[in-house]
Amino acid sequence: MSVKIEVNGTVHDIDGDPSMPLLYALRENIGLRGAKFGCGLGQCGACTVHVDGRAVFSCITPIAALEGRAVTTTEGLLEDGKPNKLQQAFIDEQAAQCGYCIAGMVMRAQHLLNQNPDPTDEEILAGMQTNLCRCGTHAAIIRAVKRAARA
Amino acid sequence: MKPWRIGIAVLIALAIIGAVAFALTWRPEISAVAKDDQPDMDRALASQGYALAQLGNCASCHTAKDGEPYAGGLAMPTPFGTIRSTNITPDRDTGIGTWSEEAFARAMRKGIDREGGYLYPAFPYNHFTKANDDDIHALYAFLRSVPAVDHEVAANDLTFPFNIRPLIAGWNLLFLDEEKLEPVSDQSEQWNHGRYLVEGLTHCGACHTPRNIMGAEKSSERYQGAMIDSWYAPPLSGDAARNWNAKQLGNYLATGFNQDHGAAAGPMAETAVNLSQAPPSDVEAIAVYTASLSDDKNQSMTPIDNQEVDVSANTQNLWVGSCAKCHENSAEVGPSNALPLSISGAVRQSSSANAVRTIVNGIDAYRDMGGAYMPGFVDILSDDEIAELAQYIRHRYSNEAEWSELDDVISKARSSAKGKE
Repeated sequence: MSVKIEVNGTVHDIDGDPSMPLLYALRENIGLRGAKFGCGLGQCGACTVHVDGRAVFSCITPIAALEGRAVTTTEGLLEDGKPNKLQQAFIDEQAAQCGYCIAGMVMRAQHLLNQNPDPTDEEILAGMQTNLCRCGTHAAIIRAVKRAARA
Repeated sequence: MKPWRIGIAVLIALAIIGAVAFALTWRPEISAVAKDDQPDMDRALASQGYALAQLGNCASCHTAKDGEPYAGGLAMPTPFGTIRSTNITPDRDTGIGTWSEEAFARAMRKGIDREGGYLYPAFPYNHFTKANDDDIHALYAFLRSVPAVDHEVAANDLTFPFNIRPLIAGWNLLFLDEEKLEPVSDQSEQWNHGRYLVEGLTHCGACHTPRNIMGAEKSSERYQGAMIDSWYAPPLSGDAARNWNAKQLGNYLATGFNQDHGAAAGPMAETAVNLSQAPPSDVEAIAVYTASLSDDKNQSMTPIDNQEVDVSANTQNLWVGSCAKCHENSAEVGPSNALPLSISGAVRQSSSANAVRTIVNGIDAYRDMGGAYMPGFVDILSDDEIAELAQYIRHRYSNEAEWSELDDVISKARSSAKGKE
């Protein structure tokens, strides 16, 4: 069975079960490995990508739900191959330790800033709540989001 | 009789009616407490009051979305228009800082504010009137201890004639029963205490009892279930409530989850989070009394799984990709307290509201307690896909008829989910 999905502006023909999570299609079939498998249950946020501009957990989004919808991954945020403002802020704040949560954090933060370009400190904390980090880089991640919002 | 004499007679009659109405409805103002005349803070008493405020769920109504605690401003849609909760912090200009304990007690018991004006029964003083003097005393001390917030709450948006406050005097005449509850002698102290709380401060009936055309709880249908904020507060008495026993209820109320029934969601989730801060003995008493409202012969839900359900391949794919990993296992509760849908009460309810709203919003109220968590699907699934999945679980995990008006329930759920951003 083949399902067509649009990712970062390109349409891909995915060969496989339509109930397959988008996360697997991204990593295995298309080769976009930014999004990570953390829990597979929509609980940790490491798989976060955008569908029609909204942050979703790609591990609980079956590709069957993606007909006519646009997926954006962290690779899709690059501008001319270079990090966008938010991604650069993460680099400038060195907001990664093992890096496993970071692609999800970037997508969640980008969603937050798209909805609310000038968030308060509380709004940033609330907006990032769905994404977990095991290494404890939260403070640097928050600094990166503030930097992107306020620079 | 000459026309002008009739005219005078009518005017006199109206004046008499007006005078009588005024005499019946007028209430005196209670003097404002002077700034330097405040009682000293009694910590122990305020702590008791804090516990009572959790039982009474005061903060849930008296705090606006993103607002300061107890500073009011929560807009509540009613059939009569929009009512906004008042600021009950000790601010002297915008809160109740000038209210003596006598004024506070009168508001709680009779629905009259300090200046003698009528409060709307969206504030459930018809329940709070059952509270005893000690509890009112402690609540007053607690509310004096919360940070004063300068927040002028916007006026209500009520349609005529509901914006005429003195008319509430008539409502009170019909529906306010100020009589205190007498203990029932052949019931335990725990049951009686539970009854005192449930009928009083915890005001369960305010959500779980259907209301009549005048917005009062129907005494003939006590605890038969009702809609609140577009969620369905299920029956607490009678056949539909039989599957709960006191232990399960106590567990559910204190943690927001019970493995035989599932998680509290929507307005009940807030209630459960507050009850988790209340004394456990009080929550147990509430559970004992509530369980007694139905004869709990069945201890748990009998699992229903009709397995093969005629559904499109697409819906089957959505079920497998989005839901099954957490919710299909019938042997045990799934990750983060995912309830096996074979024992879900929400799936069997006559209203689809709770199932739909849980799919759309997920469950996120227990983050700070490490309780049940479910991601929301509002951005993953379309309205049609949610409708198909809802009917799928309805057919598979219940023996009830298909849900009607599903499209309305879903689009309403979606717009309020978006409205929360």
